[in-house]
Parts: sequence; C-alpha cells; structure tokens
Amino acid sequence: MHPALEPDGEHVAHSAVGSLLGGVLVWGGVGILLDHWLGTGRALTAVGVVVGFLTGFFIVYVRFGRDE
Amino acid sequence: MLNLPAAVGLLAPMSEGESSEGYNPPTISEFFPEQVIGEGTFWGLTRIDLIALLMTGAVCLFFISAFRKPSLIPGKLQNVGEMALDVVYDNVIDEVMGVKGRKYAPLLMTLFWLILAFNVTGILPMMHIAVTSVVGVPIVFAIASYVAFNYAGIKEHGVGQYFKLNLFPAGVPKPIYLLVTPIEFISTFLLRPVTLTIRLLANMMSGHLLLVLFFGATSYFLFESSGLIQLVAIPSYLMGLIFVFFEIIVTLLQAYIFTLLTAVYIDGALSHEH
Repeated sequence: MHPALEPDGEHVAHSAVGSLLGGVLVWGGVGILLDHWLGTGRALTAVGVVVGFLTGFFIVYVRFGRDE
Repeated sequence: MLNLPAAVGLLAPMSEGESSEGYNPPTISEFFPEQVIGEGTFWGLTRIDLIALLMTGAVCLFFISAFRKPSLIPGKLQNVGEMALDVVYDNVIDEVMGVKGRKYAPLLMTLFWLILAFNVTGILPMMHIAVTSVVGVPIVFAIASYVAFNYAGIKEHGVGQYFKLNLFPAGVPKPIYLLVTPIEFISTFLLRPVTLTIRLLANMMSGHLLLVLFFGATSYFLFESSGLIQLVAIPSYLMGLIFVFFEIIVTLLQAYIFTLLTAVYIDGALSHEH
C-alpha cells in the first residue's frame, strides 16, 4: 500500500466500546446465573461484573494499546 | 392568529387515541402510524413507508442523473455528485481504510447518503419524522454492515482463520482465553449489529419526541391555556427551535458514525494482526 494512504489505525479504537461492554455483559450475566443457581445473593454478579470489566480492559490493551 | 409551529411545518401530528382535554405528550404510537395505502393488505404502506420510498427515489435520482453521462470536465450536477462522494471518500474511506477501502465505496456511499436522507426527514417540513426512527430501517442497515464486514473478513482469511483472529487475539496467555473468547464472541458477532441499530434508532426517536414535545407544548400554551401561562409558549418554542438545530447536527453525525463504524469493522476484519 502507498504509505501516504496508510490509515493511522486510531479509528480501530472505536470498537473498544464493544469489548468493554461485552465484558461486563458476559461475565456479569454469568454471575447472575450462578447467583440464581447457587443462591448466593448478589455476590457472584458483583464478581462477574468486575472480572468482565477488567477482562474487557485487558482486551482493549492487548489489541490497541501495545507498541504505541 | 399565526400558528407558529404549523407555520414552520414542524408540529408533528398528535398520537392516535389521545384525549381532547389538556396537554398530550407524544407517545410511542408516533412511530406506528396507520396504513394509508393498501390498508390491511400485506403490502400496506404507512406515511413513514411512503417517506422512505420518496427519499430512496430522491437519492437514486440524484446520483443516477449526476453520473449518467460522466465526463472529464464535470457539469454542474456531476460536480455536486462528486462532492457528495468526496464527503465519504475523504472523511471515512481514506481516513479509516486507506486505498484498500476503495472497493467498499459503493456500500459505504449508499449507507451514508441513504441514512442521511432517512434521518433528515425528521426535520423536513411536511414529513417531520425520521424514517430511521422505525426500528425495521436501522436493522436493515445494521444487517448490511454485519454481512459486509464478516464477508470481507472470511474472504480475506478463510472461515477458520477469521474466527481464530477474532476470538483468540494474539499475545494472550492461553488460560486467559477462557475469559477473553466469550467476550470477543459477544462483542464482535452479537453486540455490533445491536449497537449499530440502537445507536441510530434511539437518536432519531428521541429527537422526534423532543421536537413534538416542545412544539406540542407551544401549541398547547398558546391556544388552549389562558392568562400569563400563555407566555410559556415563548421559551417552549425557543427550546423547540434549538432542538431543530441540534437535530441537524445529530442527523449528520449519526449517518457519519454508522458509516465510519462499518468502515472500521470492515478494516478490522481485513486486518492480519488482531
């Protein structure tokens, strides 16, 4: 590709929102299900949301944050 | 007396089944008007469908007549047509994807100009409802975007490699995939079309409701109340006017964001280093 027309890649970060949201939804959701199943109140939901958020953050770092 | 809201053609019709007493705020039924043609048949059309057909025709007519006989020294209409294409080339395609994005130009041009045409009817006199504020329309655009980026990715990498690149980002310790892969699956293959749809739909719906709310209130204060309270029509009308200008920005911005994200998704699907 012609170097002048090489996209700068910064727009790729737009898809970061999906990973952050997805993390909380997926592992928060798993937490809700486990809470229902095990009768543990809201404890595992909270753990799931935190784990999901951190993992989402990690994905954003791995995909867009390194080598820059 | 001059009916100010009706004079600028922005007062949307009140919802069906409203009571005649007092002020009626807009409801969700705004977006489900009655069929006006072919009532009860499977092809029955509402006024929003008619606006959609009209705008589709207008966009087609514009581009066809602009590029019917393209010449090296463009005439007036071709000039305007080229400017319309350059908006998407400069701000989306070249910016996000570079030269390899040029083959996706037909899709991205269509997305941008059709969504813009469908959004702008929300503030056009006589129409005053955005076609994209009915959920079926943004869903179709989102499906087009979804099919396009998955097709591009699968064509570039093959099925297995495409899913591997998306679901197992490089440089992650193997046990962590247990946490990462479900998120990547949901965010890439489920959330993307959903967020594309909701972002466009919710923006256009809320814009319409705000306009109806303020201009409806203006009309109510002016004609159905008496005494000093009538003066409230002034700030209410001004707020409506402010939101009309706000809607002009939203109209452009949402068409741009939708097209930009589609380009970003396609570019991401083509990329070798996820």
